[in-house]
Amino acid sequence: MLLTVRNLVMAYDGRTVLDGVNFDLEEGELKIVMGPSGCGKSTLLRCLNRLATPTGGQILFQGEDILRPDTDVRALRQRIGFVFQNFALYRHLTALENVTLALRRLRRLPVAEANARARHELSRMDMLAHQDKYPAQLSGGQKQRVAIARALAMDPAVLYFDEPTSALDPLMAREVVNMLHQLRRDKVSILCVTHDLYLARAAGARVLFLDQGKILAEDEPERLFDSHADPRIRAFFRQELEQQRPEPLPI
Amino acid sequence: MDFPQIIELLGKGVGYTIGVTVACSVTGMVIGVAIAMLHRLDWKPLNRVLGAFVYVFRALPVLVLLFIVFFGLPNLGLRVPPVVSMMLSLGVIAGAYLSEVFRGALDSIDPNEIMAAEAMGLSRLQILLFIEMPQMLRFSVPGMVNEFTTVLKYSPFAYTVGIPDVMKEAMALSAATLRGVEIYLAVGLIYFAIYKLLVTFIWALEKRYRVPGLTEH
Amino acid sequence: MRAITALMGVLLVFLVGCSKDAENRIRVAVTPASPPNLYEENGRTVGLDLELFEGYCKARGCTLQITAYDWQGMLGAVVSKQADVAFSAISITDQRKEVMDFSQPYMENTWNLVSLEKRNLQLDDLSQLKQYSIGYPRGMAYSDFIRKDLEPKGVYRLDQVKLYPSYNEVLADLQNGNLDLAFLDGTVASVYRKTLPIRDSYVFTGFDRFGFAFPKGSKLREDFDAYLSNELKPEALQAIIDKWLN
Repeated sequence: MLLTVRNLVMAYDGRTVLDGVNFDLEEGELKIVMGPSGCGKSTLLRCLNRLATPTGGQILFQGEDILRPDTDVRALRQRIGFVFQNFALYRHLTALENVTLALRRLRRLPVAEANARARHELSRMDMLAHQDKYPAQLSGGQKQRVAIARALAMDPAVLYFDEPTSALDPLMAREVVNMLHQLRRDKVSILCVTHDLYLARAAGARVLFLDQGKILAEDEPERLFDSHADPRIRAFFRQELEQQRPEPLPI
Repeated sequence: MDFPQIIELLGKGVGYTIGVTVACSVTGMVIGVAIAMLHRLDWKPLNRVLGAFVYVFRALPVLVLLFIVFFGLPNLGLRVPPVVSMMLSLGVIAGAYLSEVFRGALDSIDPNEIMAAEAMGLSRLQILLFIEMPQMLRFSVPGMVNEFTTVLKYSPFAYTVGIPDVMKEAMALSAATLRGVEIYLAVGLIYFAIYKLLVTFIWALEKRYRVPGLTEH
Repeated sequence: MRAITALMGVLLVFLVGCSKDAENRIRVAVTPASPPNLYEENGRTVGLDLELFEGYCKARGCTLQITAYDWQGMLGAVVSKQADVAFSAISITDQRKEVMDFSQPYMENTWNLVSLEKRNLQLDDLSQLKQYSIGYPRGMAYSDFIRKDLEPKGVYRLDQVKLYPSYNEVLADLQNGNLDLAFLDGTVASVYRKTLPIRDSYVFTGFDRFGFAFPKGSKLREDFDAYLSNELKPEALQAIIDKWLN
């Protein structure tokens, strides 16, 4: 088991954001986490690489308890690839430099080797032609692909996506699905937090429903969205469906 | 003595004026960057000290500090050479002002990028060096040009501590020839030329390191 | 990396600058703006005061290291022992004696209130003084004189005085009419009189004498005084002074 989360609790400012979250992620698996806004989806992700420190519970990553006080947090983070909602590319560096930064400064690779690795990842994401462009010169979808290449460059054990489609237009959003499928084929383990129903449905993976600080349900998308026993869950997905644009025609 | 000759005689001080300006500007940069970076580490007691330092040195007049350093310190047994006195007075004061410029520039950095850098596993120092400083410097160019210009305009105080800059040549020449108006006109032209030189150099540097989309141009 | 090199460079300059002075090298502070005592001609420092001290130096076999400062800087340099001696027509005043040691007086100086010829200002006695504006460079001994001698007598007040950075600005204002009377050393007046249409409106005599300024407790002073009295002798001294004043 790659990732095990048990009874994760996160409380601050008098609010309890996570109230006993439990789930697992296996190697090579893709899982989606969905829930109403403010349910703590992003907080959950940030706990997984200690960008936020939970107030209780246990997180086992690659068999190691990462909440121990003596955990080497920096080493942990280097084994995790994080793709942010707004991509968070370094604006003063080119696409190539964004990808090589970690390779040169953390892995201490020489320039030539780092560039070679980076170009490999960029071409995997179809972005090699844009390697010398700055983030300001890239579209949203292109930025995301560079962000993914950057995250993959360090050969992480897992990729965490925080709302991958929220900063993209609908056409680009569809590309994300293709990308997730490609990564899965490459045996990358992925945890993806989103509120995008289309993505959740099309990704073809198990969906976890996070609400009131707990994982209330985990199931295949169709069963979760359309016919779940809990009326509250059914109501949430019906509402989401109405709010989000109607499902686009398949390509 | 005609006008070109006046310029030529005054020109003997130009090297010193530029030298003092550059020395004090470099000192200011070193101190300003150091303060801005230390401030970023967010250690409350240190921030209090930094805040007091910046407050004091922004309030002190340059000449007063120069006198304290050059003429006062010898009483404590510390003889400070003239250029170093200028660096420790004008340079430190420039540093205090620059630190504020840099603080504002650091606030322009997208905090998400810093979070991404942390998520990557970069250390605080690495984030400061590779993410924050490069962006901070680019955002600070107008503020830096402003401060370097101010340093140039305070450089005449160098004569008070015996550095034979343009002002010294001007005063000596006026006393000998009594042609104050022409001489100070020439002095103005010379300072203008030095200013143009420095500014051109800095904007050329800026252009070399400019990143599309980062700063508005 | 470059920052570290720069820092080392600074440190090096600092250390070199703070090193001990060579034997027999005398550090001189001057303000080259007081002809004929000390000024610059064609980029060279010349003047009556310099000739006197150079004579002393030749007799003692030492070398001079001359640094030009502005007036305040020059006095500050000798007080803080950054210089071994200062001279540029420095008047001996009680206030200055508190922080520096003077040689014996080497020259009498008059203090002249000068005005533009065309204004025809002639003061027969001092009671007429307060209706005119007086100006002179900062740091001059006149301030002491006005405060101690003229103010108590109600002749003039220190706060009526206009202060300027140097003689150049004083004379500029005199010429454009913003100033009635410029307070000049007799020596300086003698130089300016050659090229500007000015005249003496009133002359104070008997209180100003020039001295060479030394840091407090300076041994150099005693030796220089000995040179002036025993080796140069008053007649030769006067001859040199006459040469420069005319």
